[in-house]
Amino acid sequence: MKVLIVEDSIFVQKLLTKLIVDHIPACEIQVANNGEQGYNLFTEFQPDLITTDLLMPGLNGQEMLRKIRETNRHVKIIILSADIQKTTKEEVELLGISGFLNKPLTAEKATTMIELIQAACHAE
Amino acid sequence: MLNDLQKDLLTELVNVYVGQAANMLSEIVEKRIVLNIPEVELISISDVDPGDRRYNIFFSEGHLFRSSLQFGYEFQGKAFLMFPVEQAKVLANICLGELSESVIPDDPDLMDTDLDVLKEVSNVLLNAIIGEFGNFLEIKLEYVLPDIELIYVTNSDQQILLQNEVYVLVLHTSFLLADTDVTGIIVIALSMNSISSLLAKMDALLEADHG
Repeated sequence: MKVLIVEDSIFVQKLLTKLIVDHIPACEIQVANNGEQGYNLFTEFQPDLITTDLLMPGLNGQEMLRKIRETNRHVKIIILSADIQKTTKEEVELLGISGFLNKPLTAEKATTMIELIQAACHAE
Repeated sequence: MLNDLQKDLLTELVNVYVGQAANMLSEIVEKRIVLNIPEVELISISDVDPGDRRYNIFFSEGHLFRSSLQFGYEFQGKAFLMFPVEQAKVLANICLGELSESVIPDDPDLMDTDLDVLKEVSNVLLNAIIGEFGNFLEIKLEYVLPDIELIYVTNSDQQILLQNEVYVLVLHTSFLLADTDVTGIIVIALSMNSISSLLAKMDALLEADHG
């Protein structure tokens, strides 16, 4: 399974990478620092699943999500964001996501994240 | 500027929001956070007496780590989280705990990895508070990417710390990480229109509750 992590914080990139590798060692992971890099890697890497932050420099997570959905309705996307507004969650849900988790990535949310990734993996 | 009922309600709201933010920080550092009972004030910076010790953060000299999150449009302002630099270093070290190769405990300087962590922590904390104001007001807030700065504040700089913002919501709440000396302060600068929106929403709620 191929996973793309889109996240501007190196700290969170490391946490997510470690989490996924620890639980799903067979995963192939690539990391992007913002939405623009994320979109480019999406087209090259063709991931099965994307985890993305929303507030990032340049192209933000929502804009990246919209661009991806213009050509691909199937790739699984999980949001990991500090934005706790209900309106934000409603907006991205309209674009078709597999899950929305609020930062910080606690042990409980990490478990949910892994379950979402595994569910996406089995749905293929 | 606030009457007793408005101050009571705003204190209650902020209490909840800061409590949630502290809980998030607690989850990040896996330590208990001790919260002081918040005092909430809506003040005009120009009316603040520099001799009032409660406003030391604005008027005392020193090195500060400052993170800010700007938000708009209907509810517009800027939220600040400030720590003395040496306490910011302690916080970064705690967060980086597991990634121990990045931590040099005796090095007092903030490195890029520290700043990255502090930016992320500030982002989570300030979003927890400002986002809940958006939920309360039932409006969509747009955020600008958070800024972080290491600043040396001199007396002459203090007056421009919050330039262009007329009124400031000061949350005197400080959070204290258990077993450490890390304390921080949160300040939210709001535009006049945003204050009016907030007061109108609070008044509507108070009217509904009290008739």
